[in-house]
Amino acid sequence: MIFNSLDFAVFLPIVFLLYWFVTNRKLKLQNILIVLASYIFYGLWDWRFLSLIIFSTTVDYFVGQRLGKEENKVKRKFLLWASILVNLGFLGFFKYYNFFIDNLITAFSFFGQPINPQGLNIILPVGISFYTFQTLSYTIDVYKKKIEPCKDLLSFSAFVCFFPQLVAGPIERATNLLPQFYKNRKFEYHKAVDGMRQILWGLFKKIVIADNAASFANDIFNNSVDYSGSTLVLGAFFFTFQIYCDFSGYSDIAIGTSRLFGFNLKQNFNFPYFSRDIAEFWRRWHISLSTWFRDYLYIPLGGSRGSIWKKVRNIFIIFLVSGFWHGSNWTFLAWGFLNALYFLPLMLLKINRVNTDVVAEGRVLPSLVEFTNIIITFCLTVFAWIFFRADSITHALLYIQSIFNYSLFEMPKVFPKSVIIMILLFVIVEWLQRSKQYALELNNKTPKIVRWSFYFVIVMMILQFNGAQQEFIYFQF
Amino acid sequence: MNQINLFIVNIFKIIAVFITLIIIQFFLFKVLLTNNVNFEVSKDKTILILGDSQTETALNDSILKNCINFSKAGDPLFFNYIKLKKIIKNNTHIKTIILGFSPSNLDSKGFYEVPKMKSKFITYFYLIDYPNYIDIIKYNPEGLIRGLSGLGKYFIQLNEIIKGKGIEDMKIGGFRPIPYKISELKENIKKDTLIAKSNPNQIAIKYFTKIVELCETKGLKLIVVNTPIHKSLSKRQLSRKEGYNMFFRESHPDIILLDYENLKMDDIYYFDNNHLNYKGANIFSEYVNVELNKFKMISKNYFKK
Repeated sequence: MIFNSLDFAVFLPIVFLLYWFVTNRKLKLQNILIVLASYIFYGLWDWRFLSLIIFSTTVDYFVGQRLGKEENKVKRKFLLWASILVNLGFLGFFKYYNFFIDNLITAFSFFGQPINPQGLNIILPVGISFYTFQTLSYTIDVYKKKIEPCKDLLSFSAFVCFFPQLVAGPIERATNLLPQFYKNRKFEYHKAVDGMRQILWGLFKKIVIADNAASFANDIFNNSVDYSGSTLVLGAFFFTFQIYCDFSGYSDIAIGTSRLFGFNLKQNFNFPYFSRDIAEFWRRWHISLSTWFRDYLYIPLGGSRGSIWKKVRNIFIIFLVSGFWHGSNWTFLAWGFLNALYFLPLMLLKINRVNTDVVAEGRVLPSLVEFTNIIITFCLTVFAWIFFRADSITHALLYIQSIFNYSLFEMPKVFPKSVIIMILLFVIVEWLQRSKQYALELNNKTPKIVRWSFYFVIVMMILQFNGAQQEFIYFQF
Repeated sequence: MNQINLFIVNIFKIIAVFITLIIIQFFLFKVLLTNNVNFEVSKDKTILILGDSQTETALNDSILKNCINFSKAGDPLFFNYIKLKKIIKNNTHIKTIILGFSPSNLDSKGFYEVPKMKSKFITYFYLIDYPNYIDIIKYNPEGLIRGLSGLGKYFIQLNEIIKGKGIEDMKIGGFRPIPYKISELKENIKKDTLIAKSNPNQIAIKYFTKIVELCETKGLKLIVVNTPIHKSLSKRQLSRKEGYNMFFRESHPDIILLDYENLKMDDIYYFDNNHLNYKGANIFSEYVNVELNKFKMISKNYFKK
């Protein structure tokens, strides 16, 4: 079930009404409803994968329990590694098994020793990368004694499978989300209205911007040999907005839906394309994943402490792992590698934490320097997305090679004015609202007529542009 | 009223406002388009061609004498029926209907596909009579809802609609020449999976029968055409073709079926394995012209005989 489907439009009100009218008197009943609804939501993709999520939940719950009681360091470490191996084992098998087999065959063939191991016909369970990281963070935090182990299997199950963020995040930490399942939730009108607004904005991003940009990005990337350099640049530009609006749109819908049920999820995107350098981009893009890697990989490796070589090593590790997390393809590793290269000079020159505030705060327009920095960072990002979107490294290199020739100065063969205008309008709205959590965040001081006009235009655009329905990109990760 | 009730009431109010706006939009454009679009075609066009992408790309009406082609890619027979009804109502000089109908039309599931219904509904909604809505509501309600919500695109053309539009402006079909694309053809030829015979689509049969009945009632000659397909596809769909032949043999033995599926045409005349390119369309149209002459279809007095 995807958020931009009629199925979800029926599912959500039913769960909402049951939650606030039938199960509202008892916390336990509300949590049972969340677990059941989440399993239905997930099971409608493929019910067989429910066993994975239930197994993962059970293992981490009992590991957490044991960690809470166990004081012996060796045994504690054993429990931690047991959880890591189970979780990463599933992830590795479903996501990376065929990739390793294929590369093993290639490597042996290269050295003149062909081998013939069998690849498997594996379907990647939706959202496995997300919920695996969420449960892992719980076990690690319990191991590090940052949180108390959960004593209620029901609350823990609800934390692992909470349907708004189950399949594509935000990857929540136990410290933030788990305690919310212990407490009674009270319906708050303004929170729910805000949630609806965020859902609306997420749908707009997904249906109006991402899906429309996708049809052109797909065409240009799939037939890149037929197109001029200028068209290929436009293709990369379309993909840049497709991936942002697709993924951040999903996050907005997830956060908004959670608010309808009285939960607060963390912000996952903070207007990343207005970043003034790559370090700032990574503080604003897929925040829940970036901070996960920071806290559970980068800092344990030593972070930015130690010798220069250690710092460089850590940077490359975190970006390469982050790339590999996205999928079993060398293109994702290349994307991660490229971002590490972008980031490295900033860290070595110790200017990676210069831009931590909102760009041009209190002003309508940025300064010339800010504007130049935003454009440079944006262009670097667009360039890296080519690797992310391409089918293979060869495809990416050919794509880039085809950009840089005389045809770069031709009029693009594909030039959908309406989509380009929509993207530009979207950028303007995001720019004007960049200090908010999301672009449609309006306060009650905004006149009702303005708010309603906004809603009306957005709903009409969503209704107008629905139909070219595409799955959310991040489901495949 | 407590907070949650207030929230639900407000949500219902918002939904009600939007549903009302969509309904108003529907009736507004239905009335405007019904009254302001001129469906008359030139008096010398006595043969109307309808169908999907196969006739859209294969029959060049500038070569075919007295013909006008309103075929459109992806049009299920339901929409061909709707279109036919409207065009013949406004053009009594049309005497012959050439309907593209291939084996794939017989088991096509296009009518049940949501995105297809959405786009077709937006194009043809003002031509659909209210009783015909029953089939859409019954078999593709989601497509209908999505289609209804997409009618806002006519606001962009509002000024032109008020001024008045001709049938050609409505993008309801026409001959569409397509280039020669060898890569696409090669890719399709590579496929060697057999296309199994599947159950005929009841909606397709229902509206084919309605087209036949309408032609009989109005005294129109109906000719069904199956355009050439590449031999690679022809081999793959033998059993489907068997079902197609059986359908005509058993259900409509009196209909003139011009089956050109196996007409020998070189690869350079194909766009892909079931569509001719512009070169193929020109040669095929010349050929059909001769064939139609053989049938004396062009003769004005044919129906009086």
